[in-house]
Amino acid sequence: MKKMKYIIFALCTFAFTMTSCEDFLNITPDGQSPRDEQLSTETGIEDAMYGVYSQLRSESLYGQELYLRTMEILSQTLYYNVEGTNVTPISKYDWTHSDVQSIFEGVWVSMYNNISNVNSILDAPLVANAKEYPFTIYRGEALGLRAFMHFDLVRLFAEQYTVNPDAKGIPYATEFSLKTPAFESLKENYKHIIDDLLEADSLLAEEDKYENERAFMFDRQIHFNKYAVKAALARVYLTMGDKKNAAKYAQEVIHGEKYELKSKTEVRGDVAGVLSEKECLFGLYHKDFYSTVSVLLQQTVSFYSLNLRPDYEELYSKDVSGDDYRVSAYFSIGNDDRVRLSKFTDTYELNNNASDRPEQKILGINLIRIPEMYYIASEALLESDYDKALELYNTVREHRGLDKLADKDLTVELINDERYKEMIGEGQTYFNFKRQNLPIPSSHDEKIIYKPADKIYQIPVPDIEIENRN
Amino acid sequence: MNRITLRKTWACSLLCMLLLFPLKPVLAVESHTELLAAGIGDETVAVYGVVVDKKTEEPLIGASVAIYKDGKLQTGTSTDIEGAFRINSESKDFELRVSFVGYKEIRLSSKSRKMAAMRIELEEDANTLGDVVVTGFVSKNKETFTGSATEITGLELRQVSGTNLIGALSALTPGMAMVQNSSQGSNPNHTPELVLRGMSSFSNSGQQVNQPTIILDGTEITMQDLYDLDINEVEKITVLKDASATALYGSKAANGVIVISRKPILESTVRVQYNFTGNLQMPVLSDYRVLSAAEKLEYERLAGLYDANGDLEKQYELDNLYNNRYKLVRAGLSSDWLSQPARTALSHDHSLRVYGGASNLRYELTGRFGDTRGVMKGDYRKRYNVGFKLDYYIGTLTISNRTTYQEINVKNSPYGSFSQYVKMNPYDRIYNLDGTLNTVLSWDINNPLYEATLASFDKSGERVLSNSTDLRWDISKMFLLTAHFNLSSDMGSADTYTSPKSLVYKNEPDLAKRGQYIKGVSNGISYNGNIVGTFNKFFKDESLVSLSAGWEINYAKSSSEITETVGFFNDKLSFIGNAAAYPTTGKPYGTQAETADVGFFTTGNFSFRNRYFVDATWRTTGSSQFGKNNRFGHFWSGGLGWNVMNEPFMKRVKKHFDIFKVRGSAGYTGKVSFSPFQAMTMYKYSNDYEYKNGIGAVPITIGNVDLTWERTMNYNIGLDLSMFDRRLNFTVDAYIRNTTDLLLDKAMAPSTGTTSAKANLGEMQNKGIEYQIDGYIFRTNNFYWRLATTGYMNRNKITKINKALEEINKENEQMNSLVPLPQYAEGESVTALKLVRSAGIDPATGKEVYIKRNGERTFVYDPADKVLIGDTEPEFTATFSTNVFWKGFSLYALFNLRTGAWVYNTTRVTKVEGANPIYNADRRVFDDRWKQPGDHALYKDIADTSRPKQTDRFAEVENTLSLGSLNLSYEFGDKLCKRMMLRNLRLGINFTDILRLSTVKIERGTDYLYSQGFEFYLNVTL
Repeated sequence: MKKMKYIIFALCTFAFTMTSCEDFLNITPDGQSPRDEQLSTETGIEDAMYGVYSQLRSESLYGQELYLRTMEILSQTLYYNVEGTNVTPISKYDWTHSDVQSIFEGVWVSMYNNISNVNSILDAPLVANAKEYPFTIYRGEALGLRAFMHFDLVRLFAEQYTVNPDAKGIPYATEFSLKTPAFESLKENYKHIIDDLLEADSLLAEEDKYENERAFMFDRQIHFNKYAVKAALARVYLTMGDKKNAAKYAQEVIHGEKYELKSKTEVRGDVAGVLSEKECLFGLYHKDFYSTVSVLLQQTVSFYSLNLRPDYEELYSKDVSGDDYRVSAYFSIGNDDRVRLSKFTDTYELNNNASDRPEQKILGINLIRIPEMYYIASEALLESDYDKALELYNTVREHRGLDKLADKDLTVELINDERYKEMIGEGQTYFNFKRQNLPIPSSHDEKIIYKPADKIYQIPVPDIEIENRN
Repeated sequence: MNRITLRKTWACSLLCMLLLFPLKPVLAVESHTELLAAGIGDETVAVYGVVVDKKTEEPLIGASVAIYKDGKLQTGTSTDIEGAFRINSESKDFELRVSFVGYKEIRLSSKSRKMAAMRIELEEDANTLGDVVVTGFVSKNKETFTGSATEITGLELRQVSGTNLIGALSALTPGMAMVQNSSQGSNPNHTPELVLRGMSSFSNSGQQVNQPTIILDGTEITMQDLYDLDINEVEKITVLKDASATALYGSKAANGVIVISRKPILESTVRVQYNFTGNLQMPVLSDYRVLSAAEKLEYERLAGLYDANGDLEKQYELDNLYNNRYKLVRAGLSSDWLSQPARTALSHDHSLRVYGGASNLRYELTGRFGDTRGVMKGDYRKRYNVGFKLDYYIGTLTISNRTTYQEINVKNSPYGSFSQYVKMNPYDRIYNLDGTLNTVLSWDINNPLYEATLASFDKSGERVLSNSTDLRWDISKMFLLTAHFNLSSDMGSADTYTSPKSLVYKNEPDLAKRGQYIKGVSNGISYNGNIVGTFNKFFKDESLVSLSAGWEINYAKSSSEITETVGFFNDKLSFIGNAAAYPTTGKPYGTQAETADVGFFTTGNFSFRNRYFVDATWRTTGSSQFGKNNRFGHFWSGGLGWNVMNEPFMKRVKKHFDIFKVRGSAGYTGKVSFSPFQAMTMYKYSNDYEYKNGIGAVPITIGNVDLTWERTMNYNIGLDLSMFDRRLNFTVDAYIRNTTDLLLDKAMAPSTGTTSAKANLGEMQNKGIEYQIDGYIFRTNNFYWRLATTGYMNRNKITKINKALEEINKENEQMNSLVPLPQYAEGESVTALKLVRSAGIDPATGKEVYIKRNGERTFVYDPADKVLIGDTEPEFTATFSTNVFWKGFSLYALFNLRTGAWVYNTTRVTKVEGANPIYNADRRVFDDRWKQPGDHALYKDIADTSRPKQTDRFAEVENTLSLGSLNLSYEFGDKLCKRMMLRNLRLGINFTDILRLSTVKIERGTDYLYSQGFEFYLNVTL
C-alpha cells in the first residue's frame, strides 16, 4: 500500500510537469525577441517602427538609388560617361542590362521587405484594432508608409495611370505571412493606396495634440506624420489625374500653418544633409548620409562620382528675372573645375567642423518638401482657377529670389521648369516626366532625346519576382 | 598467506590515500567456506559452494544452480549475495548445471567430483552480452526485440584500436561509415564524422546534419565528446539502427543512435586498474610521388620556363638561371621538403581506475591523461580527465552519482597546410649554408617554414564539468522505476595569434596593423533528465508483457564571444593586452543558442510463448525550435518478430540452434536542423537601425510557422541466426529509409517580403543491406580461431527536390572549383559525381575534345554538359577479421574493403596535367603528354599550365583494401599474475593502417598527413 502512495505521488508530479511544459519550451536567445512579445508593448511597437524607418534609408532605397542616384540618372540630371559602371546602361534605359536589372531587383526586394516589416506591425493586435492614442499614431504612420512605399513601386514598375488606366499593376502586400500577394490592376493598386492614406489621415488627425508627449512624438518630420500623409495624397491624386483632390490636399498642407516656405535667404544649406526645418514634411533621419553624398556628388576623383548635366545653368536663367538663390546654394565648383551638385553636401562635415552644426538640425534626407505642394496645387488649379494657380506659383518664385512671372501666361511647362530647379537631385523629376509622358533630353548628348516610345518609362518587374511566384 | 597480506596492504594503503571506506568486502571473502560447512541428512546429498567470476574472482550473485538427472530438471536455486548456494539432491548420481547471464554454462557430473564446498569459477562468454538490448531509456529483452541493433563490447573495440574509438566503432558496425576526409588526413585535432545508413539531409559542408545521436550513460554528448572519450571506460556500445530500436528518441533518431555504457562498479575489495597505451605513428609520405631535383628542372625546361620567345636579353638571363640551377642539381642538391613538417610522433595515454565497495556502497575513481601528437610537427591534443562515482544500494533502491571533470588542450601545427611543402622545388635549399632559413627561393615562392619559425599559434581548450545522478527503484518484481538527471557546464577558449612578422603582412604599410590576436570564449550549460516506469510480467507459458512509459526534458544554452585585435610590435609578445587596436571595421561578435525540448514516450512489447512478438513505441517531442503550430512532433514504430526456433516443427533440429529469429519493423523518426528564428518571427536590434530617438528592431526573417519536423519512415527486416552453441552467428538486415519533409531553402517571390524561407520540401531515400557473420573454426578452452566479416551496401536517391536546389546547382555548376561541387537531381544520389564526358586530346591541336549531351563533339567546355559518372560513396564496404587465441596469446587482424567508389583524381588535375611548372609536380607529369600534331596523347601539352576542366578523364573507380589493425597481445596466466602480485596483466601491440592497396594513385592528406604505426599497451589490475 505504501508503494502505491509513491506511485500516485510520482504520477501527480508527472502530470504537473506536463502542464508547465509550454512555458519550458517558450525560450528565446537573449538579443532576439519573438514577434508576439515585441509587438505587445508600446515601446516594442515603436522600436519596430524605427526599424522600418531605418530600413528606408538603405542604399537600394531612399538612401541612394531612389533618391539622388538611379532616379537622377534616369531624369538625365546626373551622369558619368565612362564604360564599366552601371551609370551608362541606366542612362540609356537599358532595362535588359544585368547591372540595371540588379539595381531594380534591389529596389523591389528591399521595398517589399520593408513593406512586410510594416505589415508585421499592422497585423499586431494592438495596432490592428487601434482605437486610442498612441496606437492610432502607430497605425496611421504605418498605413501611410505602406501606401507611400507601394506608390513608389507603382510609379516605377507600372505604366502611368493617366496613359493607360487599365494597365497591370503590382502586388499590394497587406499581410505579414509567407503567402505571395497577387498582382492587381493599376486601378486596384491606386484604390489601396488611397484607402490606406485616407485611413492614415483620419488616424493622425489629432496628432499635433500629442507632440513631444513621448520620444516617439518628438521630431515629427522624421515620422510619416499627418502632413506627410496629406502631401502623399496630393502626389497620388495628381498622378492619377484627379486634380480636384490633388489641389485639396496640397492646399491643406499649405494652409496647415505648421510648415511654410522658407525665405530666399534661408535657402543656402537648408537641405545640406539636414532636414529643412521649415519645409520638410517628411524626411528620414540618416546620420551617415554625408558619406554617400560625398562620394557620389561632392568628390570628383571617386570612381562613383556623378557629374551634373552641363546645361543646368541655362535652366536657371531661362524665362526668369531676379537672383535665384538656389544657384549658389545648390551648386559648387569642385576640383578640376567640374561643377558639383552640392545641394546635399553637409558643409560642416566637409569642413571638418561637425560640432559647430546647430543642435536642432536633424541629419537626414528630405523626401517631401512643401514647395512641391505649391507646384501640385498650382498645376491642379491651372485650368479651374488660374489666378490662384499663378499666385501659388509666384509665391515659391519669390521665396527663391526670383521676380513674379511677367508678360507671360503660366503654363504646365513653366511649373515643370520651376519644379525641376527646386527639386533637382531629390529623385522626383523622373516621376514627374513619366506622369506627363514627356520626352527626356539626354544629359550630355544634345542630339539625343529619349522619347516615351523608347520604353523609357517601362521598367520591367524583376525576374526574381516572376520566376518565384507560385 | 604472505602474498595475500602483501596485496592487501598494497590495496589498503592506496585506499587510505583516497578515502576511507568500509573494508567489509575485504573481510567477507574470507568467511565463505566456514559458512558453507554444514551437516546433511543421509538420503539426500548436500551440494554447496560458491560461484565466482573466473577473472575477477568476484562472487556472482543470482547465478542459477540446477540439478539435472538424465537430462531432466530436478531442482534448482540461485546464489545469494555472497555468491554462495546450497541445494539438496535426492540422488547421488546427477549433473549440476551452473549458469549466469553473460557467462558460459558449466556442467559438472557428480561422478567426476565431490559436490561439497565447491568453488565454481564461471568464465565470461565473449559472445553473449547479456540478454538485453540497451536503448538508453529502457533495456529491452533481446530475445523478443524486433529492432536492428549492433552491440560491441569494449573488449572488441580495444582489439581494433586502443586509442581510436570512432574508427573502431565504424569498423565494427555494418552500415556505419566514417566520412572520408582526405584533406585532414590523420590530424589528431580533427573530429571525424560518422554516417549511419546513408545521408538523409542535403549538406554542402560536412556531414554534421547526418550525424547519429550519441548517448553516454543517459546523456546526449557531441561527436567531439565521443572523440575524446577514454576507450578504456567503455563497457559496451549499442548502435540502434531501425525505427523499432530508435523510436524512443523520436525527433533525434533519424540518423540512428549510438548508446554507450561505461563499466559498472562490481562489488569487490579495492581494485586498481591501470592502462597504458603508447602510440608511435609515422607519416605516410608514399602517397606523394614528387619529382626529383633533376626531373623538376627538366620539367621546367620542357614547360618553357626558360624560353624567352626570342627576347635575347631575357633569354640570356633565363639561360644563366637555368645553368646555375643545373649546376646545383648536378652537385647533388635535392632538398627533401616533404619531411620538413613531418615527424614520427609518440603519443601516450594513461588511465587509472580505482574501484570497489560492498553490497550497499560502491565507489569508483577514474583518472586519465592522454597526450596525443600528430605526425606534423608542433601539434598536440592533451586530454585530462578525473571522475568519481558512488553507487548506493538501499533495499530496492539504487542511487548512483557520477561527477566528471574533463579538460582538453589543443594546439594546431604551426607548419600550416602540408600541400605547401609538396609543391616546393627540390633544387631550392631549405637552409642556407650558414644554417639560416633560406628565404630567397626560385620563382619568388615563400619558404613555408618561415611561418613556423615565428611565434604565431593556434590553440584552443575546453573544460567540462558534469554531474549525473541515476536512480533505480525495483518497486516489485513487476514494476521498475528509473530516473536520470545530468547537469553539465562547459567552458571553451580559442586563441589564434599571427605574428607581425608573418608574410601575411608583407603589403601592410601600417605597423600598427601588423599582427593579429583573435580570442574566443565560449560558455555552455545544459541539463537533461528522464523518468521511466516499466512493467514486466512473465507468464508460465513463457509469454511476456513489458510496458514502459517515460518523460524526458533537455535544455541547453550556449554562447560564444570573439574579439579580434590587431597591431603587435614584437613577434614574441603575443599578450592580447599589448595589441594596438581593434580592426578598423571590427567589433566583438559571437553566437548564442538556447534550446529546450520535452518528450513523452511509451513503449510496449508482447511476446507470445516466446514465439511471436510485437513491439510498439509512441513518442511525442515538443521543441522550442518550432513555431506554435507545430511545436509537437509525433513519432512511432511497430515491429513484429518470430522466434522460429521455438516452433514445434523445429523440435528435431532445435539443439543446433541458439537463436533463429525473423523480425521486421516500420516507423517514423525525425530530426531538427534549423535555427529557431526560421520557424518563429524574431525581432533583432542593431545599431544600424538607430533612428534618432530610439533604436529600431527589424524581423530577422518571416518565420515559417508551418515548419515541421524532418521525418524518416524506416522499414527494416532482419534475420538473426546463431547455431552450434553460438559457434556460428549470422545477422542480416535490409532496410528502406524514406526521408520526407526535408528542410530546404525555398526561393520566395520578393513581394512576400523575403527572397527565401525554410520549407519542408525535399524527399530522399536510402536503401541497403547489412550483414554480420562470425564463426569459430576451432574452440577449446585454450585455443580458438574465430573469423568474422561484416559488410553493407547503401544506395541513396533523391526523390524530390525543388527550385531552390536547382539554384544551388546552377551556382555550383558555374563555380570552377577543384573538386566538382554537388549537382542535385531527382532520381540520383546526393553524392553523385557528374562530369562532362571527354573524347580525349585532339591529336591535331593538343586541345581537349568534349562530348556534349547530345553526343556532339566540341572544343568548348560547357558545364551544362555534365552527365552522371558514378557515386563517390562506395558500392560495397566490408571488413574481415580473424582472431586466434592460444594460451593467452591473441592475434587479431582486421581488413577493410571499399569497392566501387568514384573519385575525381585531383592529383592528376593539379599535379599532372594542370600543374603549374613553377611548383613541383607528380611524377606522372611527363607521362604521355601531347607534344606535336599527330600525337595521340592522354594529357595536354606540357606547356599548357591551365587547370583542365571537370571531365570524366579524371574520374576513376577506387577499390581499396587495407589492413586496418593487426593486434598481438598476451594475457598472463593466473599463476604468473599471482606470482607478480597482480590480478591481471595484459600486454599487446597493435599495428594500425600498415597496409593499404588502392586502385587510384592520389595524394591523400593534402592539408594534414596520413599516418601509420603501432600502439603498444599494457593493462594491469591490482
